[in-house]
Amino acid sequence: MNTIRSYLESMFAKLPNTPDVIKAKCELGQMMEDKYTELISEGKSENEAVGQVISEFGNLDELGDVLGISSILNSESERYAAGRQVTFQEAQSYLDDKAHYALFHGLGTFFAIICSCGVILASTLEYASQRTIVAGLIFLFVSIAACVAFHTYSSLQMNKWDFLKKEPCSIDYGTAGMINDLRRSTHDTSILQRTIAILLFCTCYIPLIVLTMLNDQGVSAGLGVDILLFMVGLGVLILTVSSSREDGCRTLLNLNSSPYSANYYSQNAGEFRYENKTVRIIMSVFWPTVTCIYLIWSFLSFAWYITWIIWPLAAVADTLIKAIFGIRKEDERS
Amino acid sequence: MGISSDVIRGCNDTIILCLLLDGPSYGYEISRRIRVMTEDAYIIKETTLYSAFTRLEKAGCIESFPEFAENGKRRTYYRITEPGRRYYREKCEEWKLTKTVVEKFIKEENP
Repeated sequence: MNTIRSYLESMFAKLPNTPDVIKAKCELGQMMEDKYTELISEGKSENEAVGQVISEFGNLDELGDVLGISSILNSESERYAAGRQVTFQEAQSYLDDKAHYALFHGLGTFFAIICSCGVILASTLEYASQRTIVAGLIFLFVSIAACVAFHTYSSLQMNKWDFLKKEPCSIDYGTAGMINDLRRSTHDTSILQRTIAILLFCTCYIPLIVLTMLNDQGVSAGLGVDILLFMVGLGVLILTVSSSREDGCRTLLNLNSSPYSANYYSQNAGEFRYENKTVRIIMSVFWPTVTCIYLIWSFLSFAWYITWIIWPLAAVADTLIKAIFGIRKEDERS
Repeated sequence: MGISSDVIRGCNDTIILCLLLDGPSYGYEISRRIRVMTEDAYIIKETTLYSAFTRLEKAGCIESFPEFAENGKRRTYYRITEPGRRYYREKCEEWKLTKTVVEKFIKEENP
Protein backbone atom coordinates (compact mmCIF):
# COMPACT_ATOMS: atom_id res chain seq x y z
CA MET A 1 0.00 0.00 0.00
CA ASN A 2 2.90 2.32 0.71
CA THR A 3 4.02 1.88 -2.86
CA ILE A 4 0.67 3.07 -4.13
CA ARG A 5 0.64 6.01 -1.79
CA SER A 6 4.09 7.13 -2.86
CA TYR A 7 3.14 6.61 -6.50
CA LEU A 8 0.20 8.95 -6.01
CA GLU A 9 2.30 11.43 -4.07
CA SER A 10 4.89 11.64 -6.79
CA MET A 11 2.26 11.93 -9.52
CA PHE A 12 0.89 14.96 -7.73
CA ALA A 13 4.23 16.32 -6.60
CA LYS A 14 4.49 18.94 -9.33
CA LEU A 15 0.94 20.22 -9.03
CA PRO A 16 -0.09 23.29 -7.04
CA ASN A 17 -1.83 22.62 -3.74
CA THR A 18 -5.23 24.02 -4.62
CA PRO A 19 -8.30 22.66 -2.82
CA ASP A 20 -9.41 20.97 -6.05
CA VAL A 21 -6.10 19.19 -6.44
CA ILE A 22 -6.06 18.03 -2.82
CA LYS A 23 -9.61 16.74 -3.13
CA ALA A 24 -8.73 14.86 -6.30
CA LYS A 25 -5.72 13.31 -4.64
CA CYS A 26 -7.80 12.10 -1.68
CA GLU A 27 -10.53 10.67 -3.89
CA LEU A 28 -8.13 8.91 -6.22
CA GLY A 29 -6.20 7.58 -3.25
CA GLN A 30 -9.42 6.20 -1.76
CA MET A 31 -10.34 4.46 -5.01
CA MET A 32 -6.89 2.96 -5.35
CA GLU A 33 -6.94 1.78 -1.77
CA ASP A 34 -10.35 0.16 -2.23
CA LYS A 35 -9.16 -1.60 -5.36
CA TYR A 36 -5.94 -2.70 -3.70
CA THR A 37 -7.79 -4.10 -0.68
CA GLU A 38 -10.14 -6.05 -2.89
CA LEU A 39 -7.33 -7.45 -5.07
CA ILE A 40 -5.47 -8.60 -1.98
CA SER A 41 -8.59 -10.24 -0.59
CA GLU A 42 -8.99 -12.04 -3.92
CA GLY A 43 -5.65 -13.63 -3.19
CA LYS A 44 -3.39 -11.57 -5.43
CA SER A 45 0.15 -11.00 -4.29
CA GLU A 46 1.24 -7.58 -3.07
CA ASN A 47 3.27 -7.05 -6.24
CA GLU A 48 0.49 -8.05 -8.61
CA ALA A 49 -2.04 -5.89 -6.80
CA VAL A 50 0.21 -2.84 -6.82
CA GLY A 51 1.04 -3.39 -10.48
CA GLN A 52 -2.60 -3.67 -11.47
CA VAL A 53 -3.75 -0.67 -9.44
CA ILE A 54 -1.04 1.52 -10.88
CA SER A 55 -1.52 0.36 -14.46
CA GLU A 56 -5.25 1.05 -14.24
CA PHE A 57 -4.82 4.42 -12.62
CA GLY A 58 -4.87 6.35 -15.87
CA ASN A 59 -3.29 9.62 -16.79
CA LEU A 60 -3.30 12.90 -14.92
CA ASP A 61 -3.80 14.72 -18.23
CA GLU A 62 -7.45 13.74 -18.00
CA LEU A 63 -7.84 15.77 -14.85
CA GLY A 64 -6.38 18.87 -16.44
CA ASP A 65 -9.70 20.47 -17.28
CA VAL A 66 -11.58 19.66 -14.13
CA LEU A 67 -8.76 20.85 -11.90
CA GLY A 68 -7.89 23.92 -13.93
CA ILE A 69 -4.32 22.85 -14.25
CA SER A 70 -4.22 22.03 -17.96
CA SER A 71 -1.48 24.52 -18.61
CA ILE A 72 0.87 22.86 -16.16
CA LEU A 73 0.13 19.38 -17.44
CA ASN A 74 0.42 20.43 -21.05
CA SER A 75 3.79 22.02 -20.63
CA GLU A 76 4.87 18.83 -18.92
CA SER A 77 3.69 16.52 -21.64
CA GLU A 78 5.14 18.69 -24.36
CA ARG A 79 8.51 18.40 -22.77
CA TYR A 80 8.34 14.65 -22.87
CA ALA A 81 6.41 14.29 -26.08
CA ALA A 82 9.47 13.32 -28.05
CA GLY A 83 10.12 10.23 -25.99
CA ARG A 84 8.50 6.88 -25.79
CA GLN A 85 6.73 6.50 -22.45
CA VAL A 86 8.05 3.62 -20.43
CA THR A 87 5.15 2.38 -18.33
CA PHE A 88 5.31 1.28 -14.75
CA GLN A 89 5.01 -2.36 -15.75
CA GLU A 90 7.73 -2.08 -18.34
CA ALA A 91 9.98 -0.52 -15.75
CA GLN A 92 9.22 -3.32 -13.34
CA SER A 93 9.87 -6.08 -15.82
CA TYR A 94 13.01 -4.32 -16.99
CA LEU A 95 14.34 -4.39 -13.45
CA ASP A 96 13.36 -8.06 -13.09
CA ASP A 97 15.10 -8.96 -16.33
CA LYS A 98 18.09 -6.94 -15.32
CA ALA A 99 18.36 -8.91 -12.09
CA HIS A 100 18.22 -12.18 -14.03
CA TYR A 101 20.75 -10.89 -16.47
CA ALA A 102 23.11 -9.90 -13.68
CA LEU A 103 22.86 -13.31 -12.07
CA PHE A 104 23.61 -15.19 -15.30
CA HIS A 105 26.25 -12.74 -16.39
CA GLY A 106 27.89 -12.97 -12.97
CA LEU A 107 27.79 -16.78 -13.08
CA GLY A 108 29.39 -16.69 -16.54
CA THR A 109 32.20 -14.53 -15.23
CA PHE A 110 32.50 -16.74 -12.17
CA PHE A 111 33.07 -19.78 -14.37
CA ALA A 112 35.55 -17.87 -16.51
CA ILE A 113 37.55 -17.08 -13.40
CA ILE A 114 37.53 -20.57 -11.90
CA CYS A 115 37.92 -22.48 -15.18
CA SER A 116 41.60 -23.19 -14.68
CA CYS A 117 41.18 -24.39 -11.09
CA GLY A 118 41.02 -28.06 -12.01
CA VAL A 119 44.12 -27.95 -14.14
CA ILE A 120 46.06 -25.95 -11.55
CA LEU A 121 45.22 -28.44 -8.85
CA ALA A 122 45.92 -31.44 -11.08
CA SER A 123 49.28 -30.16 -12.22
CA THR A 124 50.46 -29.54 -8.68
CA LEU A 125 49.47 -32.96 -7.39
CA GLU A 126 52.49 -35.04 -6.50
CA TYR A 127 51.05 -38.18 -7.97
CA ALA A 128 49.60 -36.36 -10.96
CA SER A 129 48.48 -39.02 -13.35
CA GLN A 130 47.20 -38.72 -16.87
CA ARG A 131 43.71 -39.10 -15.50
CA THR A 132 43.79 -36.19 -13.08
CA ILE A 133 45.13 -33.90 -15.79
CA VAL A 134 42.35 -34.97 -18.13
CA ALA A 135 39.79 -34.37 -15.39
CA GLY A 136 41.26 -30.91 -14.90
CA LEU A 137 41.06 -30.21 -18.62
CA ILE A 138 37.46 -31.39 -18.77
CA PHE A 139 36.66 -29.02 -15.92
CA LEU A 140 38.35 -26.24 -17.89
CA PHE A 141 36.34 -26.84 -21.04
CA VAL A 142 33.05 -27.36 -19.22
CA SER A 143 33.62 -24.10 -17.34
CA ILE A 144 34.41 -22.23 -20.54
CA ALA A 145 31.30 -23.69 -22.16
CA ALA A 146 29.22 -22.66 -19.13
CA CYS A 147 30.75 -19.20 -19.24
CA VAL A 148 29.93 -18.72 -22.93
CA ALA A 149 26.44 -20.16 -22.47
CA PHE A 150 25.61 -17.92 -19.51
CA HIS A 151 26.96 -14.83 -21.22
CA THR A 152 25.13 -15.51 -24.48
CA TYR A 153 21.87 -16.34 -22.76
CA SER A 154 21.97 -13.30 -20.53
CA SER A 155 22.77 -10.88 -23.35
CA LEU A 156 20.04 -12.34 -25.55
CA GLN A 157 17.57 -11.79 -22.73
CA MET A 158 18.50 -8.14 -22.49
CA ASN A 159 18.26 -7.54 -26.23
CA LYS A 160 14.62 -6.58 -26.06
CA TRP A 161 15.49 -3.65 -23.79
CA ASP A 162 17.90 -2.14 -26.27
CA PHE A 163 15.35 0.51 -27.10
CA LEU A 164 15.91 2.08 -23.69
CA LYS A 165 19.39 3.00 -24.82
CA LYS A 166 18.75 3.66 -28.47
CA GLU A 167 15.43 5.51 -28.54
CA PRO A 168 14.59 8.58 -26.57
CA CYS A 169 12.38 7.40 -23.72
CA SER A 170 10.85 8.89 -20.64
CA ILE A 171 9.13 7.75 -17.48
CA ASP A 172 6.43 9.56 -15.58
CA TYR A 173 6.93 10.99 -12.12
CA GLY A 174 5.04 8.18 -10.46
CA THR A 175 7.25 5.50 -11.91
CA ALA A 176 10.35 7.52 -11.18
CA GLY A 177 9.25 7.88 -7.56
CA MET A 178 8.72 4.15 -7.32
CA ILE A 179 12.14 3.38 -8.68
CA ASN A 180 13.66 5.84 -6.28
CA ASP A 181 11.91 4.10 -3.40
CA LEU A 182 13.15 0.75 -4.58
CA ARG A 183 16.64 2.08 -4.90
CA ARG A 184 16.56 3.48 -1.41
CA SER A 185 15.16 0.29 0.05
CA THR A 186 17.89 -1.82 -1.50
CA HIS A 187 20.63 0.61 -0.65
CA ASP A 188 21.66 -1.16 2.54
CA THR A 189 21.78 -4.53 0.81
CA SER A 190 23.94 -3.07 -1.92
CA ILE A 191 26.41 -1.68 0.58
CA LEU A 192 26.53 -4.98 2.44
CA GLN A 193 27.10 -6.90 -0.79
CA ARG A 194 29.86 -4.56 -1.85
CA THR A 195 31.54 -4.85 1.51
CA ILE A 196 31.46 -8.64 1.31
CA ALA A 197 32.92 -8.54 -2.18
CA ILE A 198 35.73 -6.23 -1.14
CA LEU A 199 36.44 -8.38 1.91
CA LEU A 200 36.69 -11.40 -0.36
CA PHE A 201 39.12 -9.57 -2.61
CA CYS A 202 41.23 -8.39 0.30
CA THR A 203 41.44 -11.76 2.01
CA CYS A 204 41.76 -13.98 -1.04
CA TYR A 205 45.54 -14.25 -0.65
CA ILE A 206 45.40 -15.41 2.94
CA PRO A 207 44.60 -19.10 2.26
CA LEU A 208 47.39 -19.21 -0.31
CA ILE A 209 49.93 -17.72 2.09
CA VAL A 210 48.82 -19.86 5.02
CA LEU A 211 48.79 -23.04 2.96
CA THR A 212 52.25 -22.47 1.52
CA MET A 213 53.63 -21.60 4.95
CA LEU A 214 52.23 -24.78 6.48
CA ASN A 215 53.49 -27.01 3.74
CA ASP A 216 55.64 -25.78 0.91
CA GLN A 217 54.89 -28.63 -1.42
CA GLY A 218 53.09 -28.06 -4.67
CA VAL A 219 49.68 -29.39 -3.71
CA SER A 220 48.95 -26.80 -1.06
CA ALA A 221 50.04 -24.01 -3.39
CA GLY A 222 47.67 -25.29 -6.04
CA LEU A 223 44.88 -25.54 -3.50
CA GLY A 224 45.68 -22.02 -2.31
CA VAL A 225 45.45 -20.65 -5.83
CA ASP A 226 42.17 -22.48 -6.34
CA ILE A 227 40.70 -20.97 -3.18
CA LEU A 228 41.97 -17.58 -4.28
CA LEU A 229 40.27 -17.91 -7.65
CA PHE A 230 37.05 -19.09 -6.02
CA MET A 231 37.00 -16.13 -3.68
CA VAL A 232 37.70 -13.67 -6.49
CA GLY A 233 35.02 -15.32 -8.62
CA LEU A 234 32.50 -15.13 -5.82
CA GLY A 235 33.40 -11.50 -5.15
CA VAL A 236 32.94 -10.60 -8.81
CA LEU A 237 29.60 -12.43 -8.87
CA ILE A 238 28.31 -10.55 -5.83
CA LEU A 239 29.59 -7.27 -7.22
CA THR A 240 27.95 -7.87 -10.60
CA VAL A 241 24.59 -8.62 -9.03
CA SER A 242 24.66 -5.62 -6.72
CA SER A 243 25.93 -3.09 -9.23
CA SER A 244 23.51 -4.24 -11.89
CA ARG A 245 20.51 -3.41 -9.73
CA GLU A 246 21.87 0.07 -9.17
CA ASP A 247 22.65 0.34 -12.83
CA GLY A 248 19.11 -0.67 -13.83
CA CYS A 249 17.55 1.94 -11.56
CA ARG A 250 19.95 4.56 -12.82
CA THR A 251 19.24 3.76 -16.46
CA LEU A 252 15.54 4.24 -15.87
CA LEU A 253 15.90 7.38 -13.80
CA ASN A 254 18.27 8.92 -16.30
CA LEU A 255 15.77 8.51 -19.10
CA ASN A 256 14.12 11.76 -18.16
CA SER A 257 17.23 13.82 -17.79
CA SER A 258 18.28 13.32 -21.38
CA PRO A 259 15.09 12.84 -23.41
CA TYR A 260 16.40 14.31 -26.59
CA SER A 261 19.99 13.27 -26.49
CA ALA A 262 19.23 9.76 -25.23
CA ASN A 263 19.82 8.37 -28.66
CA TYR A 264 23.13 10.00 -29.27
CA TYR A 265 24.36 9.91 -25.74
CA SER A 266 23.78 6.30 -24.90
CA GLN A 267 24.82 4.77 -28.15
CA ASN A 268 28.24 6.22 -27.77
CA ALA A 269 28.66 6.24 -24.05
CA GLY A 270 31.39 3.95 -22.90
CA GLU A 271 32.66 3.18 -26.38
CA PHE A 272 36.27 3.75 -26.96
CA ARG A 273 37.91 4.96 -30.07
CA TYR A 274 41.55 4.88 -30.81
CA GLU A 275 43.14 7.76 -32.62
CA ASN A 276 45.94 5.68 -34.01
CA LYS A 277 44.76 3.28 -36.69
CA THR A 278 47.39 0.63 -35.94
CA VAL A 279 46.48 0.63 -32.27
CA ARG A 280 42.84 0.29 -33.20
CA ILE A 281 43.52 -2.79 -35.32
CA ILE A 282 45.73 -4.36 -32.70
CA MET A 283 43.20 -3.71 -29.96
CA SER A 284 40.36 -5.26 -31.92
CA VAL A 285 42.08 -8.63 -31.59
CA PHE A 286 43.55 -8.00 -28.15
CA TRP A 287 41.45 -10.35 -26.03
CA PRO A 288 41.31 -13.24 -28.52
CA THR A 289 45.12 -13.02 -28.79
CA VAL A 290 45.50 -13.06 -25.03
CA THR A 291 43.29 -16.13 -24.85
CA CYS A 292 45.37 -17.86 -27.52
CA ILE A 293 48.62 -17.02 -25.78
CA TYR A 294 47.22 -18.26 -22.50
CA LEU A 295 46.07 -21.58 -23.92
CA ILE A 296 49.19 -22.17 -26.02
CA TRP A 297 51.58 -21.28 -23.22
CA SER A 298 49.67 -23.38 -20.71
CA PHE A 299 49.41 -26.44 -22.90
CA LEU A 300 53.04 -26.27 -23.98
CA SER A 301 54.51 -25.69 -20.55
CA PHE A 302 51.79 -27.28 -18.42
CA ALA A 303 52.59 -24.60 -15.89
CA TRP A 304 48.93 -23.87 -15.13
CA TYR A 305 49.71 -22.73 -11.65
CA ILE A 306 51.42 -19.63 -13.03
CA THR A 307 50.00 -19.01 -16.50
CA TRP A 308 46.84 -17.44 -15.10
CA ILE A 309 48.98 -14.40 -14.34
CA ILE A 310 48.51 -13.48 -18.00
CA TRP A 311 44.91 -12.38 -17.29
CA PRO A 312 45.59 -9.68 -14.72
CA LEU A 313 48.57 -8.54 -16.78
CA ALA A 314 46.44 -8.35 -19.92
CA ALA A 315 43.78 -6.41 -18.06
CA VAL A 316 46.36 -3.91 -16.85
CA ALA A 317 47.77 -3.61 -20.37
CA ASP A 318 44.28 -3.09 -21.80
CA THR A 319 43.53 -0.31 -19.32
CA LEU A 320 46.87 1.35 -19.96
CA ILE A 321 46.46 1.27 -23.73
CA LYS A 322 42.96 2.65 -23.40
CA ALA A 323 44.20 5.43 -21.15
CA ILE A 324 47.05 6.38 -23.47
CA PHE A 325 45.56 5.99 -26.93
CA GLY A 326 41.83 5.95 -26.43
CA ILE A 327 39.31 8.72 -26.21
CA ARG A 328 35.77 8.44 -25.09
CA LYS A 329 33.43 9.68 -27.74
CA GLU A 330 31.32 11.60 -25.27
CA ASP A 331 34.38 13.56 -24.17
CA GLU A 332 34.87 14.66 -27.71
CA ARG A 333 31.40 16.09 -27.83
CA SER A 334 31.75 18.23 -24.77
CA MET B 1 -8.85 -6.47 -28.65
CA GLY B 2 -9.46 -3.71 -26.14
CA ILE B 3 -11.90 -0.86 -26.24
CA SER B 4 -10.50 2.38 -27.58
CA SER B 5 -10.73 5.01 -24.88
CA ASP B 6 -11.45 7.64 -27.52
CA VAL B 7 -14.61 5.88 -28.62
CA ILE B 8 -16.01 5.13 -25.21
CA ARG B 9 -15.21 8.53 -23.71
CA GLY B 10 -18.52 9.99 -24.86
CA CYS B 11 -20.39 7.18 -23.16
CA ASN B 12 -18.78 7.31 -19.71
CA ASP B 13 -21.43 9.73 -18.46
CA THR B 14 -24.20 7.39 -19.58
CA ILE B 15 -22.55 4.43 -17.90
CA ILE B 16 -21.99 6.22 -14.59
CA LEU B 17 -25.48 7.76 -14.50
CA CYS B 18 -27.03 4.40 -15.31
CA LEU B 19 -25.27 2.79 -12.35
CA LEU B 20 -26.33 5.64 -10.06
CA LEU B 21 -29.97 5.09 -11.03
CA ASP B 22 -29.87 2.00 -8.77
CA GLY B 23 -28.92 4.13 -5.77
CA PRO B 24 -26.01 6.16 -4.37
CA SER B 25 -22.58 4.69 -4.79
CA TYR B 26 -18.89 5.54 -4.50
CA GLY B 27 -15.88 5.53 -6.79
CA TYR B 28 -14.46 2.06 -6.51
CA GLU B 29 -17.88 0.41 -6.32
CA ILE B 30 -18.80 1.98 -9.64
CA SER B 31 -15.58 0.99 -11.34
CA ARG B 32 -15.99 -2.54 -10.02
CA ARG B 33 -19.57 -2.80 -11.29
CA ILE B 34 -18.50 -1.57 -14.73
CA ARG B 35 -15.86 -4.25 -14.83
CA VAL B 36 -18.20 -6.99 -13.68
CA MET B 37 -21.07 -5.99 -15.98
CA THR B 38 -18.82 -5.84 -19.04
CA GLU B 39 -17.02 -9.03 -18.04
CA ASP B 40 -13.66 -7.25 -17.95
CA ALA B 41 -14.11 -5.82 -21.44
CA TYR B 42 -14.09 -2.27 -20.13
CA ILE B 43 -11.92 -1.29 -17.19
CA ILE B 44 -12.39 2.36 -16.42
CA LYS B 45 -9.29 4.23 -15.28
CA GLU B 46 -9.43 5.98 -11.91
CA THR B 47 -8.58 9.33 -13.45
CA THR B 48 -11.30 8.95 -16.10
CA LEU B 49 -13.85 8.12 -13.46
CA TYR B 50 -12.86 10.99 -11.20
CA SER B 51 -12.91 13.55 -13.98
CA ALA B 52 -16.36 12.32 -15.03
CA PHE B 53 -17.64 12.67 -11.44
CA THR B 54 -16.32 16.19 -11.21
CA ARG B 55 -17.76 17.20 -14.55
CA LEU B 56 -21.17 15.69 -13.81
CA GLU B 57 -21.27 17.31 -10.40
CA LYS B 58 -20.46 20.72 -11.83
CA ALA B 59 -23.21 20.25 -14.40
CA GLY B 60 -25.62 19.44 -11.56
CA CYS B 61 -26.30 15.89 -12.74
CA ILE B 62 -25.04 14.26 -9.57
CA GLU B 63 -24.49 15.29 -5.96
CA SER B 64 -21.75 14.13 -3.66
CA PHE B 65 -22.04 13.52 0.07
CA PRO B 66 -19.69 12.04 2.62
CA GLU B 67 -20.58 8.75 4.23
CA PHE B 68 -18.77 6.57 6.70
CA ALA B 69 -18.23 3.04 5.55
CA GLU B 70 -18.63 0.06 7.86
CA ASN B 71 -14.88 0.07 8.64
CA GLY B 72 -15.02 3.71 9.68
CA LYS B 73 -13.49 5.09 6.52
CA ARG B 74 -14.93 8.22 5.04
CA ARG B 75 -16.02 7.85 1.45
CA THR B 76 -17.52 10.27 -1.00
CA TYR B 77 -20.80 8.90 -2.28
CA TYR B 78 -22.59 10.19 -5.34
CA ARG B 79 -26.29 10.26 -6.03
CA ILE B 80 -28.11 11.15 -9.22
CA THR B 81 -30.25 14.32 -9.33
CA GLU B 82 -33.41 15.11 -11.29
CA PRO B 83 -31.46 16.99 -14.03
CA GLY B 84 -29.14 13.99 -14.06
CA ARG B 85 -32.01 11.65 -14.85
CA ARG B 86 -33.12 13.95 -17.67
CA TYR B 87 -29.58 14.11 -18.98
CA TYR B 88 -29.36 10.32 -18.82
CA ARG B 89 -32.50 9.92 -20.94
CA GLU B 90 -31.16 12.41 -23.45
CA LYS B 91 -27.87 10.52 -23.64
CA CYS B 92 -29.75 7.25 -24.17
CA GLU B 93 -31.68 8.74 -27.09
CA GLU B 94 -28.48 10.20 -28.46
CA TRP B 95 -26.77 6.82 -28.27
CA LYS B 96 -29.62 5.06 -30.04
CA LEU B 97 -29.34 7.54 -32.88
CA THR B 98 -25.54 7.28 -32.96
CA LYS B 99 -25.78 3.53 -33.01
CA THR B 100 -28.15 3.42 -35.99
CA VAL B 101 -25.95 5.86 -37.86
CA VAL B 102 -22.71 4.02 -37.21
CA GLU B 103 -24.30 0.62 -37.82
CA LYS B 104 -25.01 1.63 -41.39
CA PHE B 105 -21.27 1.69 -41.99
CA ILE B 106 -20.42 -1.55 -40.26
CA LYS B 107 -20.23 -4.44 -42.67
CA GLU B 108 -18.29 -7.59 -43.11
CA GLU B 109 -15.82 -7.00 -45.89
CA ASN B 110 -16.31 -9.47 -48.71
CA PRO B 111 -13.11 -11.10 -49.77
